Amino acid sequence: MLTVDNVSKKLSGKTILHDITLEFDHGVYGLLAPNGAGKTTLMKLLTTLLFPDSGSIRLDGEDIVVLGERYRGQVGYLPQDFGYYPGYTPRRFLRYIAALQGMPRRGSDERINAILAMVGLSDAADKRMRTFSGGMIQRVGIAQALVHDPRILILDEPTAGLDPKERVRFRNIIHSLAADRIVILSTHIVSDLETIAGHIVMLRDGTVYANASPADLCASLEGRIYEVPAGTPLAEDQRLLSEVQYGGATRLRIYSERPVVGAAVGAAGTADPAAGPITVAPNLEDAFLVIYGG
Amino acid sequence: MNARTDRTDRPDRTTDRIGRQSSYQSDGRSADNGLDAVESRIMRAMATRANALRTDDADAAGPPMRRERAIAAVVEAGVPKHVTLWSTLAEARGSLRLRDLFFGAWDCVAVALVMTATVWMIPLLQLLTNAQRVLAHPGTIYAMVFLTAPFLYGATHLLVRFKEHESHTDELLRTMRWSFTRLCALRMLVMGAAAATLIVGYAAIVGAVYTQLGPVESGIDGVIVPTTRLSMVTLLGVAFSALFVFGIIQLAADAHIRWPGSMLVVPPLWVTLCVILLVWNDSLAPLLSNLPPMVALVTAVATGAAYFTAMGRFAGSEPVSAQIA
Repeated sequence: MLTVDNVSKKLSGKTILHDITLEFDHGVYGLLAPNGAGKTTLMKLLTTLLFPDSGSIRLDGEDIVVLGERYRGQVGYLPQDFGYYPGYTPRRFLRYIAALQGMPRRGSDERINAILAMVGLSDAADKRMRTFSGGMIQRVGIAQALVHDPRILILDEPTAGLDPKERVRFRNIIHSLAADRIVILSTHIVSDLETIAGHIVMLRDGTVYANASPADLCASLEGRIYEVPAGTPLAEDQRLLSEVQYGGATRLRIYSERPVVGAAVGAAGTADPAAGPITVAPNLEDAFLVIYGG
Repeated sequence: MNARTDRTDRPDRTTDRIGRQSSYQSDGRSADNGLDAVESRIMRAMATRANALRTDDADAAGPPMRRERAIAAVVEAGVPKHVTLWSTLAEARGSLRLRDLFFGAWDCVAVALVMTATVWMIPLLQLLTNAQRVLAHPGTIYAMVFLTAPFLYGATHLLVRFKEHESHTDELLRTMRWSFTRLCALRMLVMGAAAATLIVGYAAIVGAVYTQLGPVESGIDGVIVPTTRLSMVTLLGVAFSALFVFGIIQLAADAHIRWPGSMLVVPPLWVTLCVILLVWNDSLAPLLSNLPPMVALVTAVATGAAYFTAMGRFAGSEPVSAQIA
């Protein structure tokens, strides 16, 4: 188990994270927050790129800074800004990473072939990376994080640059990996997490604002999300979250602290565009917009 | 001990319906987490070993020997391995190849070699264009060689680190099992060895050119003055001392100063030294000309020993430059 215990971090005199406490066991954990909320700083603390100013991060009770290489050898990391060597092929790059992860030379090629197949790069394994699209480079990044079969996988904005098909492939990979390891991925794209994350951690003002399953997060908004016709004036305790299109008609998705008078119970996408207010089932995007502002 | 190891067992925070944390102040209990971790590891190892010993009836050794073995096993399991330069080298043999050390940065090595060849021409040009003065005082050559000898080492280090920073690969490399400091230490060692090999050739060329020029007329009234003999031992001693001194300063910078400061400190320092030696050349050259070869050799050996000691410490250290925001 990986535990973050009362961790605080300041950078350039500004408090980025304050008194963060989290526990990570097997499964997918999504760090969901807007840009600048401290996701990347937390990721860097988890990968020992930064050290906490106070508090500690422990793996099975042992401080990860003290564990040093014994910890790093169990971690696969995909940075937000993944650096690669354009003049090299994915296969050579993965061999290099395998060597730095302390994998014996014998046997690493087999593992590399399996990983390249997993991320769909077998055909491009011996092509120089300078010819690759952004999505292919991102897949190389995911492959290098997996090459040494890490127990903890930390992915910072892993779906950036992936097209819809690649996103689906990525979700399937993560889903299959999460059974016996900790997967922590940060994103500000809600749909990335909705289907695969078992836990959502939301950061706000450098603290953990919410730490719950997607279902629990949505349940906390039950009865407070409504769809109303476009142009409906909003009360003081109501907030516009998004606009929804039904053919040519637009409806507003709103959050309301108090029940909306006369609202019918409905489901998103099934309502008559011209109908009055209806309550709809909250989704993770609603939770994100309610917490961070619409 | 229980009070300290119990820290991880404190109750979790209370959470509201969506898992929001209630706040409480950090009490700074993590001040000696490192000690706690070692302590708890030793305790676990002791418990495991004690269980093993309870069932180890077949062990022919007597109780004192078993006790010693148990203590040794506990210490081995509980105390982190001490990383030395030799352990780094031994481990590198099993996984890292030479081409891995400069992976993606061989172009930097090539550029550094070209730059070094250019810079190393300076003493030779000085010798060819200002022969009379140089031959009268070979100390000028010693000073030139001292200043230019570490160039390959410094240039390679600077270019490789700069490229890795610009290509954002350094962040990834710092998260690998092989620590970045150990990787840098190995690179510096390889570059040091390459530079040392080239320095021998360089010194031989400088020495050969010097010998070819032979005694010449001095500029004053055409009187031939005997030239001080250029000592190859002194030349090599000076060149290796320069390489090791530069290496020690660069290691200190890498160990204590964050990027990019660590890269920006040493070259200006060396350039300042160049300026000082050039300004005071007239005073220093006669002194250096009479530098006993044994002194130069002993200095090279001493600085070499200091360099390898510093390198060993560096290889086992946590990088200060890891603190990248």
